[in-house]
This record gives sequence, structure tokens and C-alpha cells, in this order.
Amino acid sequence: MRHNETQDQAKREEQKFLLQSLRDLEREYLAGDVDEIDYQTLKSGYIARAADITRAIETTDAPEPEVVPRRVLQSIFTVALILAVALGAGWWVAAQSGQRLPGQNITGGTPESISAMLSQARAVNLSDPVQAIQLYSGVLKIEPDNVEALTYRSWLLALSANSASNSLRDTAMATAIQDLTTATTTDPTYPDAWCFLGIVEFRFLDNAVLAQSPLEKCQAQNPPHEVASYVKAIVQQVNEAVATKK
Amino acid sequence: MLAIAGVSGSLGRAALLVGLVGAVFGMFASVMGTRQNDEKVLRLVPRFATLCVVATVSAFACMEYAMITRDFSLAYVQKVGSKSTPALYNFTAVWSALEGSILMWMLILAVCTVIIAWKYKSKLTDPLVAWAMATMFFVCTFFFILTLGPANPFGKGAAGVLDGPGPNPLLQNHILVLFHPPILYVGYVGMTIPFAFAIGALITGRLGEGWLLETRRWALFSWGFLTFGIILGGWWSYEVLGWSGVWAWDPVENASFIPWLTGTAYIHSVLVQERRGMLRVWNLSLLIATFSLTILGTFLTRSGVLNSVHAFSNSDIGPYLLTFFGVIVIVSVALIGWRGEKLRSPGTIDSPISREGAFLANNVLFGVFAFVVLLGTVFPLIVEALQNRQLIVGELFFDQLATPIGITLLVLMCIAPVLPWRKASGELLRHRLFWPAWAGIAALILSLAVGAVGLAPLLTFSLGGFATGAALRQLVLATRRQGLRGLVGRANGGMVVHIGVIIIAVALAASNSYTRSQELTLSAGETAQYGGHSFEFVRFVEEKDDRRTSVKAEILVDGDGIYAPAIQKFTNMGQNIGTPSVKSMFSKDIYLTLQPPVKVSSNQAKIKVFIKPLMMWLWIGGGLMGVGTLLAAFPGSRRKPTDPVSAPIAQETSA
Repeated sequence: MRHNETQDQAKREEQKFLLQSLRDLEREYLAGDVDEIDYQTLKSGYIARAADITRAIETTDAPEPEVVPRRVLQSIFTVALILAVALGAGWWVAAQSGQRLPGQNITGGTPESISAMLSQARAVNLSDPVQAIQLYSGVLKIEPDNVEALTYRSWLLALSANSASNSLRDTAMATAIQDLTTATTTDPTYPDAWCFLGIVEFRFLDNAVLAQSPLEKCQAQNPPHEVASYVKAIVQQVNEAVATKK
Repeated sequence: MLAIAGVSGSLGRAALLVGLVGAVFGMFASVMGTRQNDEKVLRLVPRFATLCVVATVSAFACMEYAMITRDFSLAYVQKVGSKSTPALYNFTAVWSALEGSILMWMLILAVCTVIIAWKYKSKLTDPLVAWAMATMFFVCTFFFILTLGPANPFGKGAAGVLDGPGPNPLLQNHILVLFHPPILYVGYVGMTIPFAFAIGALITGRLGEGWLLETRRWALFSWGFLTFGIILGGWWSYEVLGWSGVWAWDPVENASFIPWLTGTAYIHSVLVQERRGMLRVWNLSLLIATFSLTILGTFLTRSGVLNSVHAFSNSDIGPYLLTFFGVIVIVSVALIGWRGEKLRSPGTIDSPISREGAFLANNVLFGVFAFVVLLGTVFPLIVEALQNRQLIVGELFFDQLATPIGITLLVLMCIAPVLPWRKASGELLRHRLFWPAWAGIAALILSLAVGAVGLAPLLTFSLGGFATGAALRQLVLATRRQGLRGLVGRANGGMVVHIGVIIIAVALAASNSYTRSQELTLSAGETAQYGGHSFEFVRFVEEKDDRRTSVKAEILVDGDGIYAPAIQKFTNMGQNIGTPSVKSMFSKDIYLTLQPPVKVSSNQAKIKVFIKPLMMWLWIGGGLMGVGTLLAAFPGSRRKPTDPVSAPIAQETSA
């Protein structure tokens, strides 16, 4: 019953729409929005459809308005064409794709953006240090004195090499110290570089004396709150170590 | 202050919870009210919508308050707030990261829901409208869940934090950040309205053309906002990123462009359904695809999947968005399958050389375009998920696709406006295309005369002239009959939009084909010539405040104006941001960037100069598209005959 009501309502709505469309078409024609040829074409179409639907409403057992029968061959052809286009597009995109390098997006050709590479590097600093080091190196290719890239590449390098064999470790630590020193010279107000320089000297190279000054400068530059307490603790350890040596 | 701050976070959370309750109750009231035919229950629907909007506005206000008062007790403020961020960028910082942008999405969605609820208040007993409202509330419920769960902007932050880094430096460098994201979001979210009515029509089986009239204008408005948002995004990219381009096919751009393509297809093909009763399944599919693609785009840009496919499952929001996208697609496809027979059209296209034939061709092109851009965007993600290989689909792929499709669309824009419905005779076409074709020839001659070369740009200029002629022919006929009122209405407003699109196509073809660039290394006081212009490096200017330091290189261009490209460093982020300086003229832009590294003490600047033809016309074309959309949207109902300003219509032969 409810199904029939819905059907009936749909038909009446369709009839209302078509009659309204006819009235609107007259208005559009009178106003000059629709030219004579379109007016006659659309009017005859609306009238035919309105007549069909009116018959269907008035005669409950009247046949449904004529629907164009499905053409099987046409449907098969359409599906085949869509599949061909999809497969062709798939092949084409596969042929056009290439190896993605650090700092690149999955699509497009925006020139490598330093901020984008730094942002990505920050995101993978902990989870994928090798990729982060590659990203920082990419930044340094474009901007050799980028302080953030110099600092964090050095730190990740030192962290990664800490458990390596002696010669590799020594080389990596020397590179890290050199880059961190360059970073502190380039921007003496950047606390992270001072902090990491001090930590590398103390923790990895066991040199409390050389660690003391950078860590003090780190504290003087107001390091981020989340590391401030750690820095404070390590400064205390450094001071104790220096005092013990004396 | 912290006590007040805490209250702000609690109030925000409470408001979102109230909004969620409103949305859930609104959804049930719509469904139960219509199933039980209970008018009393249905009358509650606008009230629940109002509750949602009040709750969301309150939550948004709480977030703004927290940001303005630097309430660092909230994790979100710790992430994007900073004491040194200027007021404007502090205000916009609310939508500068995931949680805040989802909150803004929720705000716009709640506003759309309340507008629909009150506009159709008297029609809520109509099951189609009730189901549309239920769909709107369902989408609201999902977004409220997001804002209360994985994208909660009111989460508590670490104790004792007194300052934060501020928003991404690129988002505190240009005033467009105030307009571009909200306008784009209105475009995205607005597509929920026609989608909701489409679902309502499918559920109730009322699949005739009536529901289209209810939604056509909403779809047009949303499309207009999406268009404007995308153009503003291009402008922002041009003014801020310093690479001198407006579009690079990056995944975030593609995410906004794909629904724009399907939306554009819809606003054309809906006319065929309205006039001829055809393309019902296609139109429903386009609406559903457009809405689904906005969700897919949000998933792509917000889930972290772009950094790594494997990162998204660790992200809080990714699985939610992907599940929601899946639910929408599955339910919609199932509904279309269920109503399959009813959706079959009562007529067929009589001739491909007809208005409906042209619209169909237009839809095929837009559909293929959207499919291939989508494929190019997700292909690297699929390969990475299956084979753990990191691929890129470069700009070349998309350009190779866009050029032929764009040129074919221009061909359609030349012919379609003059085609009659059903079929066209050769005689009629010859007559109607006469002047537009001459306009195309004139454009070609003019292009050659000013030295344009290259097949693609020459084709674009020539077809641009042709298509402008076809659009102007329609407008001239309309204004001759009705004066300036002839510009109003969807057919004629649509022609204004066409002219805007043509201007953009011509400007893009010119700037992509004829841009020249050169690096100049200049000492203070030194002048160099390039591209017929002189560039004198005057001096470096250093500026510093709490937030950033900047070095500007003052360049005297053509001896009559100082332009100052700069490199800025944001102290909290440690990033160097290049800021270009642009001299804009009608014929070309001179775009200057300062190249790193900058050594002020050396008194020597490395400047990159781009000479970019017709760039200003991109923005003019965009503005014209906006004006055309407004003209097409008004008047809402077709023209009333009470004011017959037009003369009797002349026979076609006199046109």
C-alpha cells in the first residue's frame, strides 16, 4: 500500500514538475531567454511527457510511461569502452610514474620546498632516521646553511653512529660536531644546536669540559619547554663530572 | 588566566557533545517522524538543527577565544599558537592544522544543516525532505564524532607550556589564509546538501526531476565557492611559495580539483535531466561522486597517508575518514542498484549534434579527466601499499592529460552555446557559428602578429577567440532583447562563466608557454637588463621582531618602483621562507625572488627574475567566473513575465 502511495506521489510530483516547466518555459520564451527553435522543441517534449504521466495518474491500470528498452549490445560496448579507458589510463600512469625522492610529493612538480622537506623530516625524525637524514641532506643541497637541517642531521647521525664500529663512529662524530658548530656560528640564538653540541660532547664523546659551554648557551637561549628539564638535568651531570675531574 | 582557559576547553568539549546529541536526535526525529508520519516529531527537526549550530558556533568561539587568549592548557593551542603571532594570523591559526580545520568543517556543515531545516520547515512532512535532513544529520554526527574523538581540538596539553611555535610560517605570510580555506570548505561542505537530497530521492523512490529543482541552486553555490577557493589557492601559491607558479598538481591541489571536475559535469548535465528527463543515473552518480570525493580528498590531505601509506593506519583520523568514505560509496551504489529500473530515462539523445549531445560530450570529458587525475593521485599510494615502492606521478603526466582535454573542452565551448535541443541542421550551425568563427580567426591572426608560437598555445588562443565569440553572441542577443537584465539567469550567467574560463585558459597557456626566467647576481648600485626591463639592486634591508627576522633586497625595476623580495626566518620554527615580490601589469608580471644563501655583509644579492605574460588575467578570469556564477544563480525561479522588458523575439534568421 505504502509502495503504491509512494509511486503515486512520485507520478504527481513528476506531473507537477512538467507543468511547472511548461509555465517556466513560456516565461523564458517571453523574456527572450529561449529562442524559437528551442522553445518549440522543449515545449513538445514537456507536453508529451506531461500527457504520459497524466494518463498514468488518471488510469490506475494504465501502462507506465514508456521507457526506452535496454540495448544489450550498446551496454556491452559502453562497458567495454569504459574498461578500455580505465586500463589505458592505468597503463599510462604506470608508465609515467617514477622513483620518488626525499622531499617530493606523491604527485606533481612543485620545486622541492625547503619547508615541506623540513616538515616531513620532523615527522619521521624518530620513526625513520635514515629518511630524515636524507631529507635534511636534501635541504642542505638547496640551502647549505639551513640551521635546522644542519642541527638535526648531525644529531641523527651521531645517534645512529653511536653503536657503530670505532672508525665509522669517529668519522660520524667528527662530522656531527663540525656541522653543529657551523649551525651555532650561523645562528647563535638557535638553542637546539647548542643543546645537541653539548649532549654529543658529553654523552657520546665523554668530554664534560667541552660540553659545559654549549649547554650553558643552550639554557641561555630558552630551549623548548619539553626539553628544558632534560637539559637542566644534563647540565647538572656535566657540572658534577667537571668538578670530579678537577 | 589558566582557570579561565580551562573553562574555555571544557566549554568547547561540552558544546561539541551537545551538538552530537542534537545531530543524533535530529537524525532519529527525521527518520522516525517520516516513517510514522508523525508531524509533531518532524517539527522538532529544525530545533535539533538549531541546537547543532548553536553548539558548533559556541565550540568555534571557544577555540578562537583560547587561541586569542593564548590558552596553552590546550594541546591544539600548544601546537599552532604562539605569543608572538600577530592577531590576524592568530585568528586564522584555528584552521591551520587538522583539529581546527575539522572544527571549521563542522561549523559550516551545521550552518548548512540549519539553513536547510528552516528553509524546508513547512515541507518536512514530505518524506524526501525528511530523508534529506536525516542524511545531513548523519554527516553531522560523523563530524561531531571526529571533533570529539580523533580530531579533538580541545584536548588537554602538557602541563606548564607557556608558548608554542605558532602556525606553519607559510600560513602567517599572506592575508589570503583568511579567505582561501574557509571559502574552499564552504565549497566542499555545501556539496552535502545536493547529496542529501539525492539520497532522499533514492530512498523514497521519487526519482523524477522535482528534487533537482530543490538542489540545483545549492549545487551551483557550492560549485561557485569551490571554484573561487581553488582560484584563491592558486593566487596564494603564486604570492607566497616563490616558485612563480599557480598550479603544480600536488596531491592537495588534486584533492580539491577532482570534486570540482565532477561538480562541473553535474551543473551541466543537470540541465539535460531537467529539460529532457535524461541522464538520471548519471546525475545521481555525479552528485554522490562529488560528495564522496570531498571526503576522499580530506582523507588524502589529513590522514598522513601522503607522508607514508603505512602512517595513515597509525593516524587517529585516517581510518575514520576511509570508513566513512566506504560507507557512503557502498550505500549509495546499493541504493542506485535498488532503484535501477526506476532510474531509466524516458527518452534518448536524438542526435549527437544537439545541446544534450554537447552536454554529454562535456560530461564524458570531465568524467575522464576526474578519473585520470584521481588515478594519478592514488596510484603511488596503491603501489606503496602493495609493493612498498615509493613512486611519484609527475607534473608531465597531468599536463599531457590536461592539454588535449582542455583544448577539446574549448572546442565544445565554441559550439555548444549555439546548439539547439534535440538536433541541429547544418544551415543553422553555419549561420550561428559565422561570427564566432571569425572571432577565432581574428584571435589567431592577432596571436601570430604579436609573435606567439607553438601549436598548443596558438590553438588555445584561436579557440578561445571562437568560444568567446559564441558566448558573446548569446549575451549580445540576450541584452539586445532585455537590456542589462539579459545578463541574469543561468544560460546567460553561464556564458559569463564561460568567458571567465576562456580568459583563464588563455592566461595559463600564455604563462606556461612563454614564461622566461634568469638569475641575476647584483652588487649594490649595479643594474642589469633582462627581458626588456632594468633591475637595479639598491640595498638590503634587515628587519627583526619577536617572531621573525627578514632580509629584503630592494630592487628598482625600470627605474620607477622599488620591489623587495625577501627571505624571512621564523625564530620558533627555524625555517627560511622566501617571499616573492611582484610587479603586475595587464600584459605581464615581473616576479622577483631572493635566492639563498643571503650574505648581507657581502652587499651582493642573487635575484631570480621571472617574466610571466598575462598573469593578471588569471585573477580577472576567476573574478568573472564568480560574477557569472552569481548571475546564473539569480533569479532563483525562472523569470516572471510581469515585467516584459524584452521586445518580441526576432526569428532565428535575424539573430
